[in-house]
Amino acid sequence: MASGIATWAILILLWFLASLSQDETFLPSPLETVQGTKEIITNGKLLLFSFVSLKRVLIGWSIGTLVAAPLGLVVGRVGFLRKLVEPFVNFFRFIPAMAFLTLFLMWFGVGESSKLILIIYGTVFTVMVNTIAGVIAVDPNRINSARTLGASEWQIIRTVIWPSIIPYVFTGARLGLGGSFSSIIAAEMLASKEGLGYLIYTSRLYFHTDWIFAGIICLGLLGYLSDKLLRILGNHLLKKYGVHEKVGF
Amino acid sequence: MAVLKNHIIEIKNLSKAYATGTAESNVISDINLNIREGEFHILLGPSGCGKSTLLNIIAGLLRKTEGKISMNGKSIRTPDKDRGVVFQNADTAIYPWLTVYENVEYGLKINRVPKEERKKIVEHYIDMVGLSEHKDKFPGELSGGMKQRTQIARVLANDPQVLIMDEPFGALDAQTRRTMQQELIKIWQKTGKTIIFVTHDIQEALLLGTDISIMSKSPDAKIYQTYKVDFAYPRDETTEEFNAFYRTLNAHFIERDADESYDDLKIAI
Repeated sequence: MASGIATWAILILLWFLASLSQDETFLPSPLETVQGTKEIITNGKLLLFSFVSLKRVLIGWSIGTLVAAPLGLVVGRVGFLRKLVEPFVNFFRFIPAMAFLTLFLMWFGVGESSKLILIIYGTVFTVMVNTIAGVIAVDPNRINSARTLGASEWQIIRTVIWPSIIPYVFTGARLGLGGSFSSIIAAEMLASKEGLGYLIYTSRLYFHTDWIFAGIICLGLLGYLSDKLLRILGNHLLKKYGVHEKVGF
Repeated sequence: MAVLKNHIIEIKNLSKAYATGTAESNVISDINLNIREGEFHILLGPSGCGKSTLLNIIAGLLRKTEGKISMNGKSIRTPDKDRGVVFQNADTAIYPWLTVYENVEYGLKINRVPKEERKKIVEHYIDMVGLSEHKDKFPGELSGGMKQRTQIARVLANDPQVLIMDEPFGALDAQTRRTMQQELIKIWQKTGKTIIFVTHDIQEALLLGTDISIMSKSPDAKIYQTYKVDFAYPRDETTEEFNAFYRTLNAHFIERDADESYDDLKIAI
């Protein structure tokens, strides 16, 4: 905690020193940024835009995770499906969601659906790749002991494989959450009238560099806090499945 | 001595081949073995002799290549809860997300035993392996011996006719192993189960088994002699008879080291 405060203090000090010789519209000082932030807090924009972006991320990411985890389980478990899907998954996971942005806008319009689909796309591949890796890594002893106790294939999937892969799904979901934030900011910059991406992109037009800083800091905070919350939940609810961290990162 | 019971497991001319490169070679070849109900049957042999292969075929986890293998006259093709398996590595066999109680309950739940009955059975076997005070702990909080007890209780709770054990005490320290051996004898006497037990430890074989089958080295591993052990339980490894028997069994392994061609040894089953 103390070292965390030191990190931030040093960063803000450097920022302050750098801003001394620069124009406010090029690099606002920490204090000017605080004042600018106050403006968009008072007029309600920052809160509204944060909420809009966060809502898009959470909905898209939840759907993506809920689809990808069971899909990854089945694909990972069924040999021929795995062989069938492997090239497909490993091709698309190298294409970032942003590459599809213009296509999705064209296909699904500039409304909410194109943004959700973008986030779902990004999340699905990340979570699926991790889930499949988890299924492959299940110790055969675990499966064999269930079989010798009389478990059917479906019971093995439900009572052995699924609990075994939870740490992998969790890691995938965490990575997916990070990806979702980048996707949504890009989408909001190009096609939205709301959201942090919109704020960051349009503030430039009003020479409000301080608002850009406010938006960026807010984005970092949202990402940090949602990941932190996810980790705390994981550590508490999923501890017995092996989701725990000895070193927090 | 009571009347001899029926053969529960019958193995005839059993072979298992693995493809190694282009050639196929037999890990075990032409195995003949009959196991009677209630026997404590030891498979004794050096490491890598195909004991585990044989055990996995009996369990139904591996398919045979040739020959016949049956339990109660029915051919063995897949695993069945009538053949409970205690794996060597309890760490990976029991489930870390379940408590000791839930682990022991697992097979019963899978087989849809009603809840009240389940509770009685689980508590009975947890008590039998001496884990009553630890039943709400997760495996991560248990010692190696306690994990293995959990696995044994889980298999027993499922009430299999045959208990298959693959070097179950191999990973334990000497003292814990000794305690576990003594307790296994008690459990075997109490439950009357048929046990097939793999080990490479001659002393362990003599402490536990009513029958000891000696396996030769792989490839083409065979069972080339089965001994009956008539010592009363609990057995004392310091007696002259015990040591004489030890030397007899040990001779098989020394002979092999000196001369690999032991095929001419009489197969006496």
